[in-house]
Amino acid sequence: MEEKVTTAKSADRNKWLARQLRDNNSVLILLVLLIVAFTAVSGFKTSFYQAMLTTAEYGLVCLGLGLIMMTGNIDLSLGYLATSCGVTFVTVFNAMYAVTGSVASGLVVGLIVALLLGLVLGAFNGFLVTKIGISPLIATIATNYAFDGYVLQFASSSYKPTETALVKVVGNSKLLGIKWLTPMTIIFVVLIVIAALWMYMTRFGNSVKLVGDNPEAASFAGINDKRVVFVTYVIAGFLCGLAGFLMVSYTGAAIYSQGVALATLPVACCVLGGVKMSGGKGTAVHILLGVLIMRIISQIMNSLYLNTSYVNLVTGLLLIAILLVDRFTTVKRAD
Amino acid sequence: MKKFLAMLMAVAMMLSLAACGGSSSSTESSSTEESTAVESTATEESEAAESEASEESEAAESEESESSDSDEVMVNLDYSSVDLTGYTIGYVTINSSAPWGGRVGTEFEAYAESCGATVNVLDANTDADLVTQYCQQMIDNGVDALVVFGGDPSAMSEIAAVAYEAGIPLFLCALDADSETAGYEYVTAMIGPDQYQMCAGIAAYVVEENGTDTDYDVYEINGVPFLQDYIDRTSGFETYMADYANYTLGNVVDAYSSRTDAKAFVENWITAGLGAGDIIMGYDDDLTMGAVQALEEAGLTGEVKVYSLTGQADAIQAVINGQMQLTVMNRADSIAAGTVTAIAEYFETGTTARFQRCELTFITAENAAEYLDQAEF
Repeated sequence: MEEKVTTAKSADRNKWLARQLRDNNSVLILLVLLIVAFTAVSGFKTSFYQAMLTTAEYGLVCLGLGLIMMTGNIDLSLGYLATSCGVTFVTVFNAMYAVTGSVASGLVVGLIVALLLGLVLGAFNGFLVTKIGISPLIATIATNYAFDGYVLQFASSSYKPTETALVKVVGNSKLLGIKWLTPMTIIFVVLIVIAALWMYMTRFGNSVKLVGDNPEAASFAGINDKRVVFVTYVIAGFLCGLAGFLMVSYTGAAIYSQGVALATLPVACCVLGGVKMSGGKGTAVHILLGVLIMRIISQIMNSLYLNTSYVNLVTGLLLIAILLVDRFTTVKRAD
Repeated sequence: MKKFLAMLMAVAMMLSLAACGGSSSSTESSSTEESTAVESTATEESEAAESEASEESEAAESEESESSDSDEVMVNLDYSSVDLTGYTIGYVTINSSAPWGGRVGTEFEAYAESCGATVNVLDANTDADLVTQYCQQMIDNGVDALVVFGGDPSAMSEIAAVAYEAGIPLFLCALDADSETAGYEYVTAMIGPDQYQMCAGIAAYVVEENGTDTDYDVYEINGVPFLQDYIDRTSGFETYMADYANYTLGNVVDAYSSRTDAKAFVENWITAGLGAGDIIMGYDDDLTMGAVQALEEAGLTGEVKVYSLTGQADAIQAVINGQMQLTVMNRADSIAAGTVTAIAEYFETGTTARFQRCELTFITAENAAEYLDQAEF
């Protein structure tokens, strides 16, 4: 009898371990990547900070998308939404600076307008999806085109603030002499922590995953699923507004091609991190892990002087591998 | 709440539009100044342009443009005695998939390595943001010189300062960091044609060939709209043409890197009314050949005049066949060789000329046959 209990406990532990491994394989991938990178890739150590900085640069867009994906929806316009906010920030900053001659007022007003624009555009996406009922994929492909056009109109290639010194403080000030420790990385980490706590500790945060996992059950539990989805789009828009500003602060300009780069990258980051496309699974920490994995792969390739095509190839194969693991373990669990 | 949101949107739009207005007016004024300078240099052929420029416009040019200072020379193509043994050169390209840009990279790598250098290459796949990240990568790895092909001068300005502070000379290929762009002072040398002037020269050729009396509709096939070389090309052509009211511009498409798309765009134009007496300006031979094909299929060869640049073999053949009026050979190997010699000169003497220009050859029906076997791709 005692032996049976021990065996059952052991089986439970194995199942728990298997589940943890499946749900948190991004931790394992990141660890393996870091070990390989630091031990076998010459030059990685000196340029590791770049992976950290670009993680923070693109991370907020990924965080926004991750929240939407957890509800079982998608937004393919966030890259250009962020770039639109970046372009708007520069436009407003330049206008304010020209009128008032004050960099600080340009910075504050520009940032406020960029954040508001992010909110409004995010709300517009949410409105199309939840109120009008357009498929999120189609709706956000459409808005992506619109945002793309807006960015191209203003930043035919790149669009620079007329005075960059103060604008660049957030993205480029090295704190404590550490290359990757900038206000931008701190903002990103703080927001990841807030998002993680919000999802874990609040009723509304909990409902995000519940809506993604089982909208009907969520509805029976008294959760207004459409409202939850709408709010995630608004939050994502706000985060993209901030990301747009951070990208300008980091690079010194709103660059059109950032929108191109962020077209599918956030989806890949979220999936790599462990956020499920069908919703209901993932945390803010998973998103952080996903972005880190993506940027470290990219940095390894850069250190080896392998081109973007190889980065894309490796990332694609890794994504396929993760999706296959997810697919088979999910089917097995269902069986 | 709805009213509040509506007001916020209105305020945001007003601020954006207000700022936009300021920006475009400054661009216009700068363009007008540039067009004055362009008139001086753009004539039938680039070499002829220099000799025939009027004194008046020369003066305007010297006032307007810093690029016409004594620091502008023709590239030195003779790299046979160059020794770069022991040097590591970082080469970052905005895009190696386009035929011409790719050719510059492969030729540079081959020439520099034949001189003993180690060349590390990274391709940013049209992402200007990645260009700066890759440059940072090269700087972190301590290359002896950094070469950047294409990209964006504004986005480059920050990293140019970083390279300068790290003591790494920066060479820009086919990309001018003009005097208005911060970071200009940190660039060691800019090698390649002045894309703006080149296309202004083509515009001058178009005006000279077609005159100022008859009305023409001009259709433009652009490449990748956010890459600086295409921005400079379209800007040079359009700014010059803006002074001639009988040429109506406004039909512009972005075919990116797709000849098929360029062909489809021209087919649409033909359906919509493009016909005999109209003009097509293509900003890359590879795209323009799509237009040539569409015109041929529609029986409009020779009826619509076609002008282009880059000088690739099938375009030169098209000039010979009477399918195109002009292409401008802008040799990739000249830029590659010129960059190698500029780097060597800098290593040897600690300085090199700021602007190093390549010869441009205007290829028309009269001289096309002699250039056919000189095409690079």
